[in-house]
Amino acid sequence: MFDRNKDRQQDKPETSAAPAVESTYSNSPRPTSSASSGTSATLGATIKVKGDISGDENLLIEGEVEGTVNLASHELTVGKSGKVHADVTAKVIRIDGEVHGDITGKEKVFVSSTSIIKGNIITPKMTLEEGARFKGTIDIDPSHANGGSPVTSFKSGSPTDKPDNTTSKPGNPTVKTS
Amino acid sequence: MPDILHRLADVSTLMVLDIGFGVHETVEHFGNRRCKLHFCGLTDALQSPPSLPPPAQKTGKIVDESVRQEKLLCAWRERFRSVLNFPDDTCFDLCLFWDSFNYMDDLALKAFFEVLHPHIHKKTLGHGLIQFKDDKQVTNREYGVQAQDQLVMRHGHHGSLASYPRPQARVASLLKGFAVSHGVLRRDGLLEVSLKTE
Repeated sequence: MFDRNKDRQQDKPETSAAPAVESTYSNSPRPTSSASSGTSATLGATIKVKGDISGDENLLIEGEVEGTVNLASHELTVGKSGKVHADVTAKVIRIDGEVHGDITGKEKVFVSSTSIIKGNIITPKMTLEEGARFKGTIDIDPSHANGGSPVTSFKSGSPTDKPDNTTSKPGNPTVKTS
Repeated sequence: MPDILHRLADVSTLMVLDIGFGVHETVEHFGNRRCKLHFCGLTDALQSPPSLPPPAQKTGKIVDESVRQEKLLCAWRERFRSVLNFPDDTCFDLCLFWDSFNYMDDLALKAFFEVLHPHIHKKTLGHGLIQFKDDKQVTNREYGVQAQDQLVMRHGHHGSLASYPRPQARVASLLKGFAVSHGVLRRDGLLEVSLKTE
């Protein structure tokens, strides 16, 4: 079920209402922040959990979760194969997989281009990876913080579709309307 | 757009409706202020337009086309209610329509703005891009806000959608609650318009 401490975990059921996750995924490159308490856990790709998950360590979900996830002072990562049908709360949240539910990141939420999200995001700091396309609501309040394809940019309000640094010239056609 | 964003600079919690999908530039731009961003990905809802069965043939009855149109309008309203499924008290300060006008026929456009109307207030501002003539090069794009005077544009994911080029006056007549306050004709042929509520 979990990467490390397998011996200690063997007597535990693979699916539980509120699994006490004690293992680590120290080899994983993410997440890394001061929120880490030194231990982390992984919910493997074949694991399905129905119920509420809470804890005092970071968690990587590669399996399926239905219920709620609450890691108020730690980091949560929903891996590429992770499918979460739950409201999730954590200090820092990274979504690479699928989440159906509201996402509350106390400090930060990172949404990658591989993610599929159906729900609202509430966080003081939000990052949408380049290439990601998000549908839903993002509620951003920076004051609560603790701590692809080619892109063309253009000047808005100027009659040009040329790339950056193209400035509007006085002679360009401007249409004044009502 | 620079003018629009400047005028909204002092709004305490900026309520933004983006008709398209959220792209990282837009999130980044608004992310340094208190705001609520609603991305409705409208093009998904336009992929299979509602349709009515063709009128029965050779029945000898006169077909009232206006009734059929009304039914179709209702079907579009239903479609858009599921897309703009906001709490009743949601009111937007800024609506980023981008080029969405151009993917809706008159009926759909009328229905969309009827459904949106309860969610705008007397100071709501809008931004859009109107297509005058049939030109594939200005369709299938996705847009975002990079800076107050800088937008981003990338290839979209809705190449199969039909487009409906129209004169500005016709588009404006269908935007319930909004009036065009200013327009700039871009070199690519799109008319970039600022909208205000009537």
